[in-house]
Amino acid sequence: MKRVLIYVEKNISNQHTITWIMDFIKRLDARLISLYIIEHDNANDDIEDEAWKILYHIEDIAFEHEVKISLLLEKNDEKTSIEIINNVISTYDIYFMITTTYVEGVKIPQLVVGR
Amino acid sequence: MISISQLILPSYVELKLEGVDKLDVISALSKKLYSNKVIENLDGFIDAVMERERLESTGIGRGFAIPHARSKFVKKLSVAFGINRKGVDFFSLDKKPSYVIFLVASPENDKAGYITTLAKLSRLMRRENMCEILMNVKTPEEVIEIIKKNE
Repeated sequence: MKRVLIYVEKNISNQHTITWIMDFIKRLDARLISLYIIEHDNANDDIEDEAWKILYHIEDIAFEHEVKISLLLEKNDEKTSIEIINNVISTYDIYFMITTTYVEGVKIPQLVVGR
Repeated sequence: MISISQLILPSYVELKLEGVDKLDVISALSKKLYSNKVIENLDGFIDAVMERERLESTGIGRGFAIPHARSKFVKKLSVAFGINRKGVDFFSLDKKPSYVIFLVASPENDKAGYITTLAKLSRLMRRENMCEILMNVKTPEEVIEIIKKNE
């Protein structure tokens, strides 16, 4: 089964974006690896709780869409975010990565080749 | 504000959790909640948890697993706790067995409480040496005390 990485950001909770991603992953019959990276400088219990909440919120939507999912939370204390993402891509044999971007104020999914 | 230590009662704790696979340990912890009248349909709840397990790896690594479900058969948000000395494969991303298992049971209509509980537990279980600390407890009350101190 192919593994697709989604790099989760604080403001990804846009329902339309998540629904689009779930439909896409389901069509691919892939497993979603959902990664949130906490900024080391801002790390505290409340921020970590919020990060996990976002991940579990995505997990709940994945369940509703019957999408297989695993959650990952990392802190960029010893490695940069890019190094962490590269490590996840190689460790979990990621097929490609999804991140998001803003286009004229509207958040849309953007595909980024991960390997 | 949800407090994990208030969701676990001593009678929800099994320090010698038997079983060789996910279904065994999830069933055993579900029976704890059923016998404490937290859930009203044992098979229905176990099915709900196992349906999640089919899609998700609830093994969060470092020796922990947090199987969970929101279900119409759950009366109140609760957490059962168990220790399996041999370890059970929850298909964690780190590929290591899970020894410490938290089973989160939530009513279907309490999504916010459910997600908050999962988030807090996941954060607590990333604490240094938490698996070893919990593996060495002697009483259910000690489990609750450790969680209370760390949340």
